[in-house]
Amino acid sequence: MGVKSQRIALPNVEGARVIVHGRHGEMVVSSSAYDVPRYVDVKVSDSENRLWITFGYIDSEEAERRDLDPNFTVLVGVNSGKLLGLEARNLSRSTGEVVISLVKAVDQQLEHATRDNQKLNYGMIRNVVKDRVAPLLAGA
Amino acid sequence: VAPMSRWRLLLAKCLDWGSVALLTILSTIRVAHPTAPENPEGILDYLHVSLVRHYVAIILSLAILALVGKVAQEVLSSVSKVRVKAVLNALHDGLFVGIPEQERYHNRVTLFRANRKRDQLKPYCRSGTQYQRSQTFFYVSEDDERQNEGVAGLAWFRNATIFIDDVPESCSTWDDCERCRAYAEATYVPPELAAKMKVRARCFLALPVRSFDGAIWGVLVIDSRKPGGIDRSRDGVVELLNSALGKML
Repeated sequence: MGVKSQRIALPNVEGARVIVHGRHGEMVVSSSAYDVPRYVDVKVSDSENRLWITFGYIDSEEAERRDLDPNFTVLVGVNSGKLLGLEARNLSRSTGEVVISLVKAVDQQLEHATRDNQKLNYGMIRNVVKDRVAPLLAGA
Repeated sequence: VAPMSRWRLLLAKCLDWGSVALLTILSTIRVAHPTAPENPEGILDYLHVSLVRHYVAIILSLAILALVGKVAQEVLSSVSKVRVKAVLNALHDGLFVGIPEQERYHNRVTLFRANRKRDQLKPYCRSGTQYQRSQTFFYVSEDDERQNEGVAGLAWFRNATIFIDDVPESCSTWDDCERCRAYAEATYVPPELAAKMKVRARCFLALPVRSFDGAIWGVLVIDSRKPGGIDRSRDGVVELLNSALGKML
């Protein structure tokens, strides 16, 4: 029982890119360095049944809290709208369910994204949660 | 060093604005109350007497202070521009390797800054020595993508890096022909603006530049007259230098 925290460095995460049809042929839209997470901090409190995931970037943007439901809160950048963190409460479910809920929370943000940088960032975060955070939670 | 320069610049601005404001206020008082009280009683009366007596000297001193503030602003902003230009030149040299000297100006690295109303992107600094006094600006909007002009405007609205290559070539002298219209269309600029451009690049890479708090400051545009002229294998370096630039501004 207690608080466990771990930092995962993400040196190889490449910026997401999409090819869209511009007015003349193809146009490549990719995420800028400001939106590519450099590390992720995962903190689990067994006593409080809570999980905090914080994404680190090259800048220090202020976060805005958005409560998705009583159990989930996402933190997004006030200016860019990129995902800065996730908070999950009442963690009485299995790891698999927690990961599914986290991915669902990111997908929910993706649905409301208004700018390309947000869409690209949420896609990257989704992959980080599935590929890097989920194995860590399974082993916790 | 950058935050220090920022404080000095702010101080110079305060000196400038403060002097101009005082000039206006004191002149208004002088016009409204041209004669000083004969028997001054309170501090305001004494100040009034001093103002009337030394009016010319006070006005001259404030004018000199305002001028000093303006000169200091010019010097300090040119110092920060020298640093920015050094980064842009480094980016240019790193991206366009092995280009013959006479073709160096075919490729440019330009930093555009948004105005206060955030509806225009104006050239702030450019690499090299050519086209330094360009007045070309692009209209931008945060609400409607169609209101954004140029590849710079696209990067501004989408807040993401944009790469466009193989833009159709326009005629060497601008004409309202199909070829020129196709160029304007492909580069997202109105034909009348494209007609004014001295350089009509055919390959573009535009990156949003953000300040430390994540707010978008402007757009960095790298362009080349040659299709395929921008080496995309160096994107990582470009992105890193771009983010360093954001921290300098």
